[in-house]
Amino acid sequence: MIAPSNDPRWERLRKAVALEPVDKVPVCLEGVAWSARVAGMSLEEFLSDPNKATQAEIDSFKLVGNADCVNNPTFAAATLSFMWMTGVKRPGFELGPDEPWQVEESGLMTPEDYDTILEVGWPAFQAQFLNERIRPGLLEEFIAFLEKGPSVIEQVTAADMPYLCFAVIIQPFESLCGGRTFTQFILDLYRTPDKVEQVMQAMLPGMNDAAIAGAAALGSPGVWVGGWRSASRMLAQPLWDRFVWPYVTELVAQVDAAGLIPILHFDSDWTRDLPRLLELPAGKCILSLDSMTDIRKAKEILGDHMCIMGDVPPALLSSGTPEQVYEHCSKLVADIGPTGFILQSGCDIPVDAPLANVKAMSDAAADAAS
Amino acid sequence: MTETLTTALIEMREDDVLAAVRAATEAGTSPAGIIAGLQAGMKTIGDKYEAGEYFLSELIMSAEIFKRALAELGLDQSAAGTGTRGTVILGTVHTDIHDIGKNIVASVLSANGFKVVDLGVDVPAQRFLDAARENDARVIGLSCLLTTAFPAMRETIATFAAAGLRDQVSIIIGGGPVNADLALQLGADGAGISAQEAVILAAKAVEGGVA
Ligand code: B12
Repeated sequence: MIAPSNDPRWERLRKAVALEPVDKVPVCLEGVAWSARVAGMSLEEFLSDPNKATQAEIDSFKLVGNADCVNNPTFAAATLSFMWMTGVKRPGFELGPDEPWQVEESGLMTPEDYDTILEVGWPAFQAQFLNERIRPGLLEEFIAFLEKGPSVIEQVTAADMPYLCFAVIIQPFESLCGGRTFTQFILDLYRTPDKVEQVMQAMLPGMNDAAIAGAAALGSPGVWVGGWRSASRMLAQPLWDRFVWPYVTELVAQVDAAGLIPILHFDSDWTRDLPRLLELPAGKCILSLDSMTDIRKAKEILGDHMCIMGDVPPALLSSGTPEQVYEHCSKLVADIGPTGFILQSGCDIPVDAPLANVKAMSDAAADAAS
Repeated sequence: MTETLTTALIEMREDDVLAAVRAATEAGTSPAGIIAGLQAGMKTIGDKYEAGEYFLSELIMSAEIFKRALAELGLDQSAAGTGTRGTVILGTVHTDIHDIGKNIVASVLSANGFKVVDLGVDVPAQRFLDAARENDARVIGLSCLLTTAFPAMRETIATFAAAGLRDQVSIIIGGGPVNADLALQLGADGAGISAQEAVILAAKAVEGGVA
């Protein structure tokens, strides 16, 4: 939730979500690795300490100058393992000090694990999996990251930098699919659908309680409800209807009940199922698109129902000129804004995007308002 | 007989496809006839995908059924054509680990009669070159989803040039952010944004000489 505020940036964000008129389309930076690059910090150092990651975000936010907020104020590679049950190659460890991290989708989860999950429950299974199959100490690393939450929020507040979200919650689909690998998991859905469904139903209750409670306690405005491999484009309609949508609606309800904004971080193409999003509570959610979903169609279908965020294509941000970015963003602001729209990159700003391009994105929103 | 087979494949009924393959074999249908029935199914599935009726899950499941049906006949994927149309070395370039699209390209190429040597993900330039030499391949397919991996594509192409092999192979690139302009910039021979385009490019490369 975002409380009414004297700060025009917070006000814009609050109104964008509530679908009220704004003086300017707010701009959100989803920087992560990119913020380290422009702040002159190696990726190894960025990942070494949540407060350093936050510092890089603060520095990059200041360098852009006229953005309204950042999306996540910090980052840890362990989060990716926690969400997707995969290893992550890290700069400074398995990779050179400034090489972007890589998710290792290698199928550490076996079909037998479905029964184990049913037997011992998801939390116990996950804890053991992280430390025994991925890397010893990984769970403790993730917990240490979460424990830094209050100090990160303090740092962000002192820097006067609005942010949207300090937690990612995850559907059973994403964790199982990451652990099994996309291809194997699809085969599981065709061959043993009842077993997978049983596991998902066992996982869901309580799976994200700690993350939601933690975010609420920190005063985070929202929580990500993530969708990557569960995109409409990936799945036949009957599979998506059975294994994705019921879980997304339940998680959105949980986040909403905690008074937080569900930020639907939906990568890849969700166009087919946009009408289904009308089933989610009105004026509460942010739909964050990565440029593969048809954002104009999203506006047409959902414009009166939820705030839309996005979706400057990553390839444009890294390879385009500032003029091209500016032109693209001006059109987005005109077509999707001004009400119920937050201008952002499609998913993360790519690590190699020039600062001038990100400034051009932010300027486009500022100029459209004046 | 092959009609049942084709329909079962289009409807993702794995056990029925395998049963139909066995029944057709017992009834004396030739392996070539059975393969033709399977390929007709794969073609319809590809068309339905292009038309937005089918999604990635159907491509993946049908590719798996196709593979198992061939195994039932004692064949591997490279035998799918009436004669193989040539070898494609395929991989996701160095620093990139996205493989959903690459895997689909691999199975669609196989279903269309190409032998595919899949090098996996995060593949260094030298491995593409080594594999091309080992397999005497004329087509190299680079999959890339990260703009930050563009330099890895450039390096791979340069590695072929440095080895004096550039003129003997067609290097085609593909993946979300890839387009014809980029192919031009990097000095690749073509770019495709779908598995169908991969087939067209590979066919052009082997049938029409180096593009
Ligand atoms: C699924 C996914 C993942 C999965 C990958 C699982 C897997 N096994 O592949 C996971 C979750 C692990 C992942 C991880 C990451 N990802 Co990712 N991911 C995606 C996502 C959502 C979908 C990609 C996909 O599979 N599409 C479906 C397939 C079928 O499409 P396709 O690959 O384009 O393939 C088709 C065609 O292009 C073509 N084709 C493909 N290859 C070839 C080859 C040839 C020769 C030809 C002719 C044709 C061809 O045919 C295919 C079939 O039609 C995209 C979103 C997007 N907008 O694309 C992001 C995306 C690609 N990821 C991105 C990023 C940044 C990452 C991470 C770095 C994230 C992070 N913050 O940690 C990591 C690490 C990646 C790394 N080091 O490589 C960015 C890339 C941005 C950029 N710089 O360009 C994207 C664009 C998301 C975004 N908007 O920010 N990701």
